[in-house]
Amino acid sequence: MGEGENLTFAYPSGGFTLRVPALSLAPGERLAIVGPSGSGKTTLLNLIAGILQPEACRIDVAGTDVTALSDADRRRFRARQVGFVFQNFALLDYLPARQNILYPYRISPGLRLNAEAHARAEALAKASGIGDKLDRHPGALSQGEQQRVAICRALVTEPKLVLSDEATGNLDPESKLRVLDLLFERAEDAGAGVLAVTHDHELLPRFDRVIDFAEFRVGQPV
Amino acid sequence: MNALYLAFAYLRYHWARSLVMVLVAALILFVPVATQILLSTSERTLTARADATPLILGTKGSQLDLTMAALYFSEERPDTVPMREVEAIWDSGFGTPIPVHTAFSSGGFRIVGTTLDYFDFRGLTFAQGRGLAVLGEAVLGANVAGALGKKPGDVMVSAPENLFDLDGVYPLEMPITGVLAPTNTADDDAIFVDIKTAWVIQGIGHGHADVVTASDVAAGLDVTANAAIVEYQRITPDNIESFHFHGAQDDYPATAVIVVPNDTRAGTILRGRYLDPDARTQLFEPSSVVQGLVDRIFRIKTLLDVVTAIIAIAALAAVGLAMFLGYRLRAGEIATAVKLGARRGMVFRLLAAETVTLLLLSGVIAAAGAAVVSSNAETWVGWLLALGA
Repeated sequence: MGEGENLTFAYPSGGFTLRVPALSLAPGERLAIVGPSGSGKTTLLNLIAGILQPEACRIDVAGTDVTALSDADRRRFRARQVGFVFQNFALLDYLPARQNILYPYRISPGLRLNAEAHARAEALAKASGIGDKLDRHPGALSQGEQQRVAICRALVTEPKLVLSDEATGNLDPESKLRVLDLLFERAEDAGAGVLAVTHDHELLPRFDRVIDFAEFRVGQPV
Repeated sequence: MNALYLAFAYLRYHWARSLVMVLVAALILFVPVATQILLSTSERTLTARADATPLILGTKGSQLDLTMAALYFSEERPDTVPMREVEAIWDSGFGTPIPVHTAFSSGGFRIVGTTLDYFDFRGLTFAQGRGLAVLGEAVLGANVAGALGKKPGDVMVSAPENLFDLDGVYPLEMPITGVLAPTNTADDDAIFVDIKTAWVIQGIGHGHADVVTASDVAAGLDVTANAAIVEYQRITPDNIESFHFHGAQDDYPATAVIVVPNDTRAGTILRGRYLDPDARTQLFEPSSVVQGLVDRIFRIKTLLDVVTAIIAIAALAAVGLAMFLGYRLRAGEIATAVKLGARRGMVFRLLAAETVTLLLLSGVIAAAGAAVVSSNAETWVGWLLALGA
């Protein structure tokens, strides 16, 4: 599904350097990354998604070496192969839920908004329990419903990898379990692997594998 | 298309903010254009009426006052010119004099006493009714008829000048015989009467019940002294014969005299006759007077343009700042778009689409406003000039 070797990244301003000797994710696997704040968890997600470029290494996602792609190709690759779920949901307040789910099609040249995409968005929303709320704006949805919309947006393009950055961090204990289960179910339906950054140790038993960035920082392969 | 879709969705969702920005931008675009249209129409209207009036004869004094009174029937009251000056122009054979008497008003509109030559000279036509035929009749300008709701068959009553002046101006009831077609000039705001009717209003002419004459006494009629002579305040077919004027007509007043020379040569000769510095009267071209006025107004307009430009720059800066802050507020949205794989330049296209949509809407509103101003400019300018009269 995905793997990286000798990942090294440093911000130009200095003060932080991330070094990962090896990282792999099997197809459909649910991998959690835990660790203290500032240990580079979000940076790792940005490197895998091709938002940041590592100094030297190879990152293979679904058979594509992300580091070898041009900027435009990385954007296209990200739109097609990677789904993002954010802690703050990152929904657009001026678009109704349906259009929020279809938002990647509005901004990426690699995706074509057609009837199939619309049908997929409807099916995802229905399966996520928000099928009757597609015409509501985010302001008219609960936090749990907003995160369901965000999950639908991450999966509507049928990506091979879903990157989740503290996706349940803003939810109450009951909702976060339901939303995480929903994310796993929908990703499994789509055949996508899930790489999730979390601080919440209660959720870790639900993952197939957990990487502690505290260990990871000592340079051991994971 | 996607950028336009998102831009429109954003503007529609934040409709109040968008509306304010659209209206402000529309105003910034509209105000200078509308001002320019109105000013150029004013200039054209002012100069057109002056250009169409070859010469004005009046007493020595302010040429501007004479011009404003004779052309725009303003409230200025230059010293009157005696009717002998009109006769002098007739006698010269060089042109046609058209006396104008603008001392009185009715219903807030100026009563203009003149001769029938005025209607031919201005090319005035009737929308309703007919022209002046006998003493005491009135013809209304289009705006007067509209504002007062009067039509042929109704009557107008002249406003008394001074309630405490027992020897002065008394109201005269005048039947309306016609309403003029609109011309978008001062004629639309005037009540036209024969100049003799104006003199009747002034008290120079009047009509009253028969008095006992010396011949009646000699004939042995029973004479009883009675100071109460009935003076008529309306002119009817029954009493019109009793109306008469006192004194020599050569001394009767006119506010000014429009002089239409037979040709350029006649005009030049006529002007030469009024160059005597000791003469009580003057003859001049109103076009040069109005042009001087317009030039002065347009010098002030230059200052106005600078002020408008400064305000426009400040308003544009405010709109720009509002848009910049709006974009700053959307930094999160932009970051999300980048993470989801937005194409390079997509964010710029999105913001540009919003800006262009806003400016387009503003432009359409401003253009529509300018079109309305342009199509009504002559009417509004005529109204504005009449307000200042």
